[in-house]
Amino acid sequence: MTVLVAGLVLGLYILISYGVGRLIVAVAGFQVDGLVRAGCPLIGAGAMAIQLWIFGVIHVPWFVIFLVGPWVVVAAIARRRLVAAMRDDAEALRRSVGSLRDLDPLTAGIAAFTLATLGFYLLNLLAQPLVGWDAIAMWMFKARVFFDSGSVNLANLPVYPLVGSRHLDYPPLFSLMVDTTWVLIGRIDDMAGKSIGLMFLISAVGAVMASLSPILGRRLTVLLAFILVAMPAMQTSFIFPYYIGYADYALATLILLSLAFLYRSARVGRDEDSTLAFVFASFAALTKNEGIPFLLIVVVVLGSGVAWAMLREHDRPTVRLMATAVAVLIPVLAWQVYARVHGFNSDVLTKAHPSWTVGVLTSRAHTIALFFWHLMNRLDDYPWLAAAWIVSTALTALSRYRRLTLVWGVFSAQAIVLGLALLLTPNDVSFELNTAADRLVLQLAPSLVLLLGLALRELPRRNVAEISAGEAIA
Amino acid sequence: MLWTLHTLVVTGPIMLNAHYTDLLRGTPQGAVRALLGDPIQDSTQEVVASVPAHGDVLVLVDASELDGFAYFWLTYWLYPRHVQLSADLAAASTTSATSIVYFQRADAPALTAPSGYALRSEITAAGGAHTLVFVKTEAST
Repeated sequence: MTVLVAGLVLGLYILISYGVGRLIVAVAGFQVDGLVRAGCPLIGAGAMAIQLWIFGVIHVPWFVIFLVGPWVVVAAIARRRLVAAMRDDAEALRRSVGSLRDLDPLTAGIAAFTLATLGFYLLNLLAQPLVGWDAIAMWMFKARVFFDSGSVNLANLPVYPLVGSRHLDYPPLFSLMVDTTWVLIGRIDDMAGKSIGLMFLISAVGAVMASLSPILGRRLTVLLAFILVAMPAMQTSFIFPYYIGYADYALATLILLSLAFLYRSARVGRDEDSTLAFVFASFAALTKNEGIPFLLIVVVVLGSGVAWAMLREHDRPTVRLMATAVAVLIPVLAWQVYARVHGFNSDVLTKAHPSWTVGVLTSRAHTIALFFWHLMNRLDDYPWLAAAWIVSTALTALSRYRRLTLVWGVFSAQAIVLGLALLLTPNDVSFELNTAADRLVLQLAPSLVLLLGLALRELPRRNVAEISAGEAIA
Repeated sequence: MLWTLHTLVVTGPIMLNAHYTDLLRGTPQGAVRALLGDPIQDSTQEVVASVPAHGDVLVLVDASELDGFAYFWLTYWLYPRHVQLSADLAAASTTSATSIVYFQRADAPALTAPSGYALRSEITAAGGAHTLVFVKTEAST
């Protein structure tokens, strides 16, 4: 019964998040296709989470009527656009379902395995009790604190020697999303709250399918989507109950979506796709601290595009792009100010660092390299992920496709930042590796699958033709 | 394709070994345990139902739980009550907390109701462990 109720709450939350996200992109006048639809649940979930945050600031109670009411009003005002959007979505759904009949047996089999895996994950999320360390200590605890006070306020927590281990400096978006599920039903439901990772997984699959299907064909896309869902690196997030990095998959999906839109951006820094790449990068920075360097990298890329356009083409970014950028950047900055004012600082800022001599750095680099080398020998997908990056790098180097280079560059820059964080941590590097290495891999693995798929487009045309021919025969 | 096969071979057993029968029977506690002692884990929900909704709670635990997951576990489930964690039974006679919870292992010393407190509930767990919940007499109504 508990599982059923939690499942219904989760389903309701994902549906409402999609509806709010779809309403936002429709009202904002975005061109909507599969990739935008894949991002809609996260846009809606992010918007409602920030809405709760604002309610806390202006002392509006966290009641479902106040949460949903404004969106109902907007939907009523923009009813023509909404009706058109619903028709579009229904048509897209009908086409997608219809195309399932054309799948060849191999593709259909892999698609069935993918769906079965999603089903197993759902069962695990809803039925396994809440026992994960970081869930209890951080993400769900913060959600409880926020929900109890109806505001984003961590300042009144009792002082305890271990309080630093709660990482109060971590941004609030994920916990606020958990709160949204609770506000919808008016009470705390731990199982529904801890299961929202499924929404991110659905968005990730949608984004990969929408990004790769037009360039790789259906069979290869379905294979990559299966790997995205079922690769062993994902099991830490969806099967193992003791998983200690609760929001890492959320961050991974937000990075993936940002890269997917960046790849599509024909006029970097100036078009709708750039806008959405920026939105998801900002959400990443509002989910975990590792998202902050990612946002900075995306800002540099998009800012370069804007600067180039202004200098060479005298082309200014649109008002919509600027307004969206400001709207999503304000919460990111607000949290950083809040955390600094209350002394919620990251270990990197507060703990004493060792003296950085060449010897210390070399020794640490050796330890890190050795650790990952041993991971390569394990019976999981680390060797495959390494191979995927090498193949992607080689194909990117051979290709002169600017947008692929851009995505490869942003992905690799983020990987380098994470590597540097390990190298320069004030904590014991072996402790960090044992507790964080698999989570850092999880943050990047979905984007690596996307990057590999995008890079495979650069294979000699004959192979791509074979893929298409194979599909045509099937 | 090879990566897909590898994924199938590795992920399949992981998923099929995930105690679905226990989960579907509604006894996930039998399948999945938190990283802390059984007495705390098994009686947490009854403790939450026994102590007053607000105020401080002094929780007495075995010394081995002090540096582990117990603080986070108890502050989560007992929130918004403020939790003070101690392994020293003498703390029960000096505390001003609204409630005292004692997770007593089978081989641990007994604790009688401190002055000003009344025993609200006694929960018996497996292996002879007990959980005692004392509530301040003026807060117990």
